Amino acid sequence: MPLFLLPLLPLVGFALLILFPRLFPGKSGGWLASGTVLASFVIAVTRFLGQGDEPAREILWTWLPGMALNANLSVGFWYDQLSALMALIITGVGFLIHLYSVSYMGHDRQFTRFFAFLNFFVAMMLVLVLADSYPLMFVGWEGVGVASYLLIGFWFSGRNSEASDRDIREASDREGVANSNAARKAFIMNRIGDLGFMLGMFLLYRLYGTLVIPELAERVDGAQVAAAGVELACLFLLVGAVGKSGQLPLTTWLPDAMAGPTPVSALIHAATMVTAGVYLIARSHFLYDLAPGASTWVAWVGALTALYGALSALNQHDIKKILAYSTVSQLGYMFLAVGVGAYSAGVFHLLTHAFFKALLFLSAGAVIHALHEEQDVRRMGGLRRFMPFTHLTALMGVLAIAGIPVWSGFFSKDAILAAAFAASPLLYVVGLGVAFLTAYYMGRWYFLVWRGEYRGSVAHPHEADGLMKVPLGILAALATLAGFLNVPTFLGGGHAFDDYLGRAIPVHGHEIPISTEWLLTLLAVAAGVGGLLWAAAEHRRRALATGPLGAASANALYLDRVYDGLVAAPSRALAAGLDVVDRGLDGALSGVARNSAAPGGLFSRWQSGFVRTYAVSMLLGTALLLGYWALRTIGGGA
Amino acid sequence: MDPAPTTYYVALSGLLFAIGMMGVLTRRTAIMMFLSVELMLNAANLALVAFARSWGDLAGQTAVFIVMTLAAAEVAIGLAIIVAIFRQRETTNVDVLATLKG
Repeated sequence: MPLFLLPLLPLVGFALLILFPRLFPGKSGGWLASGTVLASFVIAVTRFLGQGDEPAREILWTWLPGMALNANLSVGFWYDQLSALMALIITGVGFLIHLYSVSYMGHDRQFTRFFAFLNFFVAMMLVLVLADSYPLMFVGWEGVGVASYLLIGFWFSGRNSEASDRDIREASDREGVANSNAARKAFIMNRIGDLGFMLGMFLLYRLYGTLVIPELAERVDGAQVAAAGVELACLFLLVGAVGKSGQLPLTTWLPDAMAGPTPVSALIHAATMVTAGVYLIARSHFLYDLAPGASTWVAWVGALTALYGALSALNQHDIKKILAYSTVSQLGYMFLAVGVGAYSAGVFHLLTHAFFKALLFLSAGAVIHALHEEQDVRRMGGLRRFMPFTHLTALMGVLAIAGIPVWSGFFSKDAILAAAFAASPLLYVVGLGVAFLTAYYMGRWYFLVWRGEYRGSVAHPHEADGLMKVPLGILAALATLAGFLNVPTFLGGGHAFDDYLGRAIPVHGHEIPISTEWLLTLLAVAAGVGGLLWAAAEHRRRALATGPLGAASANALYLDRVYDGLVAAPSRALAAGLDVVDRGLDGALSGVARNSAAPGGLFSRWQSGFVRTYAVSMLLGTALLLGYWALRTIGGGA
Repeated sequence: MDPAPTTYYVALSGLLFAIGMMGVLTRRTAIMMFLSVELMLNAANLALVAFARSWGDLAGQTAVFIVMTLAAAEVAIGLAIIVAIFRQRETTNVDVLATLKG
């Protein structure tokens, strides 16, 4: 089956739902949207099963034919092991989240519109990962940005904008403003990254004369290009990746993006879109292999972001914000991996993270649903008794992300830490520390939500319904078992994932003695278990409500305030100054206009519409003229 | 027999013109205003003919023909307009028709 069907089906779904929403009463729009993504998933699976070793390129048409500059710029899709994997994740996890949303968004007035946007997102994300050239990838890149913007701001007038109670309505208005601001923040910060992406493309075209990825990969080998040029291009691409993936320094939009509905957080801001930056760097591996400097930057950006996210997550109180900072931190891990050349480890963590983080978000969504939009973990607790099934799935997610052996996060995080150790001990220490912090804050999340006394106000929290349980169950199974796809050699595994991805992306083996590798693994497990035990001990002391680092962590290390002071406050001051100037100029011009119109008013009053008045005017005028002439004649004669 | 002096004709013309003007200024019916305007035109014609005769110049009489033609055309168009207005408004009172104003 041709590749273009993959993005086309959800795109058709989007067009139908957005253009003819009335054709889809009740929940039928949600089922249609889920159906198109399921169809795409089926196609992705068939393509995957029939995939050979050689990548496939399916060219659809030439972009801007007749322009010599773009003679070789095709619009086409590129299907290798990396894009196959991404397509499976996007359509597979995407379908599960669509299914979940049918129930989760069931009572929303904009139900159909929500699914239109979700379908649009899936289509654009598939364009992004299947594109055979950077410009086409950029189209998908921007498309997912738009979808993200639309979905973060989905409740742009708050959730109760039509409530009859005035207080509730006003609170809803405030919430709507906050949601819209979060959406705009995401969009604007992504623009900064996009500028980097574009500059990178321009530079690559300048250096190599093509932007088609497979052609570029061929030309890079033989080309006589200054190393500095490649480094710079890679750094520009890194700026793009940093923007999309919420890495330092463009990270603050991602936690705010939690203003969107929870399935959106799960699909876009955890499982797929935010990993586009990792995908971009893995896709451009042939460039980064030539640019050790830029790769080091990638690794350090990742390591510092991982640390930043983990520290910020320690003392959050919003059930979704904890997960959001955790996503920032885990994306940092992936950047760290691709930065040290361990592309396969990075993409493997992308896969497992897609499973366990989507699972955690969907579990959090079930909790929010059960507690009637309550998101503060201090008002939860003891939910294990009310929601046994969701408790179990959430526990699987926590164990996976904490890196406890057997669960998937253990294998993927271990691979990254080993690669980091081989590259630089300092990176490894940061990574290990973050693993410890991760286990702690996820343990804190778990104990605060699920264990202890119930502190909420809703009398009887209800368990998720059947439709929500299905995706939760499947994702819990995947989060638990996906690690076995890539069991490393020293544990007696077949590293099937590395072998598979190795056909598209070079897998650089690292030379670490087996004994060291065992040691690293034990340390990682110790960090994970230690973090969880620390959280458990705090839980027993009932001291979990306030995490370590206090206000610094709760305010995400004040990064938002720094940006506000450095960028937002000066631009607000500039805007206020320009506003004064504008009002002054405008007022002056209005005054001039008013005063020049005034005499016209006098004359227009003369225009009374009475014919006889006009006749009198004519008579008087004629008499005046005649009198004037008569006087002149007489005067002239005298 | 001495022809009557031109002064008489001009005086009559002026009288007619003044009557016509008073009519235009005082009458409210469009038709009557129209008639008054015609009276003013013919007063002018009379003056033109009188001066033409006194100066022995035919140009004045020629001008009269042009004025008469113009007046006929003006009557045709003017009456048509008045009829059209009457159909619309059922009145020809010009004070009521004072909608076109600044």
